[in-house]
Amino acid sequence: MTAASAMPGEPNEDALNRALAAVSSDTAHPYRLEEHQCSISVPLPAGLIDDLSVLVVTVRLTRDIVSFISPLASLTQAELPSDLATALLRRQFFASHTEGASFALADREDVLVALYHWMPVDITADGFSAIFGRFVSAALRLRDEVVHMAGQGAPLHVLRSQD
Amino acid sequence: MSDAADRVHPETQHEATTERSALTPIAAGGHVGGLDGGVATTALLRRMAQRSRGPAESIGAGGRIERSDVAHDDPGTTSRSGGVASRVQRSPNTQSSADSAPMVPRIQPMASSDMVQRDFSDMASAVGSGIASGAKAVGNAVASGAKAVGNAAVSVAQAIHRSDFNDLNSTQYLVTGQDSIEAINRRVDENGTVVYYKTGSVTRGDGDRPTIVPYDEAIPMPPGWLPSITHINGMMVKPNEGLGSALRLQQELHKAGGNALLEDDIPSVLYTYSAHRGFVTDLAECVWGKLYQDDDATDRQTQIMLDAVANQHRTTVSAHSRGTIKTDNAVRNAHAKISQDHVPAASEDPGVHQRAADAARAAALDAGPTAQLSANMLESVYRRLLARQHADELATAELDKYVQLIYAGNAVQFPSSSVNLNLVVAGSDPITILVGKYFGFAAGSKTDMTDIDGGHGFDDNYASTVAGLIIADLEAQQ
Repeated sequence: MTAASAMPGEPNEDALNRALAAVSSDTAHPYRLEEHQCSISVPLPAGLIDDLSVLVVTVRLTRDIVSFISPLASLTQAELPSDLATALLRRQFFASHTEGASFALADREDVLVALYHWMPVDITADGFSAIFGRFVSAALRLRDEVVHMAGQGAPLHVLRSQD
Repeated sequence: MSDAADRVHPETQHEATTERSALTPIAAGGHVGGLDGGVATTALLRRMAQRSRGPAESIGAGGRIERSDVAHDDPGTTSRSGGVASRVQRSPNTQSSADSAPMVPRIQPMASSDMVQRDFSDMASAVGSGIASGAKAVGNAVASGAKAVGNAAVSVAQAIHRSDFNDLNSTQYLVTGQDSIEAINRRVDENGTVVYYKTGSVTRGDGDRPTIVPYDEAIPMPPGWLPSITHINGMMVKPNEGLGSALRLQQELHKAGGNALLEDDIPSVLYTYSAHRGFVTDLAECVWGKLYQDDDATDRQTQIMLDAVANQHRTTVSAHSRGTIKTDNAVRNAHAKISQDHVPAASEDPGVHQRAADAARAAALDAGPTAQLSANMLESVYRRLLARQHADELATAELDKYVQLIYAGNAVQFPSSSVNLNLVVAGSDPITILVGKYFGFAAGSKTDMTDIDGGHGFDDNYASTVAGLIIADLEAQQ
């Protein structure tokens, strides 16, 4: 645990666990934070996206900030080319182009992710479920963009169901 | 832009550094797909890199002069019923009732530049003074350094002022021939109807700036008039150069249309001037907090597309060089806006509800023993996804129907995949070559590419081909 992380039993962690429980199907074994994060698999409706049946969203708590993270693609070369980085940065200037989410490179592995840092006044179940749903939509929007870029030759391996 | 660009115009140089692809991969033999004869040689790329300008040469200014109506208008209030796309343009010389003539906005060249200079200088002075005040406590040497910082900032401000055409950014002109250029503007009347009105006559003269003589009273375009052909310039283009390109496009349209159309049926060109200067300017603007908004020229482009769709009037949007970046942003803005307008209806669609409920039930059945989202949560998520998908498809169909997109001297690395796009690519155009390494179109791409010979300048390299594409589209719509 880092100094920046929420402590177990702290109000924010408890509140987020309550919100996770509220969206869980199994009330006896709901989603809970483990090491300040929780991975949620969102099965996608058949036919919505050809090569992706499940979107994985990691919910992470850092103090009072709730982060939503979903992997999109891995890099096929050591560094993100500057022109690709430029395109990604240009894209996320406009909220409507990304539905409010952003691109980022994950810390441990060089994985391009969709990311949204939520800074709520209070973590509530309703607020969490609404933001979660919007993030799923935004992540798929960003994935569309990444698929397009990879199709044009960008050095990205887009995450697909068979991976 | 004038064809001085073929001599590697400052725009070319600048974009080569700020919009560049990584030089090394291409120089090392990277793929430049789809560019016949357009392989970027190591020598070419090295020359371009050596031509990169220093900051002092690149600095310009930019501020926001006048917001377009894109964020305020509601083109959706205009009926979308009315059948096929119309490109028939009424005579721009036909005047409607003068009663509806809006006020003539007085064009005041340089006023905004003055403001930019004043603001920048004042702030630079304040920065210098602030630093100097703090430095007094620690010695004169530091104070001298602070003064130097302040002076440098003032010099930057002066450099910006000298090179600035920002007061003309996003201004629009109706080009109907060599002797007919008029300043034009757009507003939405009380009924939600888009009205274009001419505000003054324009002559290019010999300098960089056009001379605009305001009309005593604005002249409304005929009711229902919307542009059929539009064009936006690239970066570092002086206003008269841009007008020259619009004139050239108009001339090429007459040539290309000679056999296909009656001369009188060639539409006017609505030209939007973009004063954008790129990276270094942006940095300067960023310092003073003026960057964090959309560019008015982008807003103009967005509005043109929204008007086209809302009024079912097919419009060509031609862009050159850096203008393609703005236009691509505008396409995405327009697509997002149109899609968002469709979301409420799509969200209420019983078919969407049913499909979402069915998918949620299926997901619950497929779930294993691990934790999962509740069926209610999944159904809510699915409704959003399915409604958005449907709305996106409608937006794409409408944009494809009413907007012809042409990017000449493309500077966009990854153009929007949502809409049909014509890319015109010159084999010796360094800008397009640099971004072109990613033109490995995937199956199902909505982008068509036209390869031509030549360099980056619009007039001599691209205008005739662009005109040919426009005329072909006009014919196809008849």
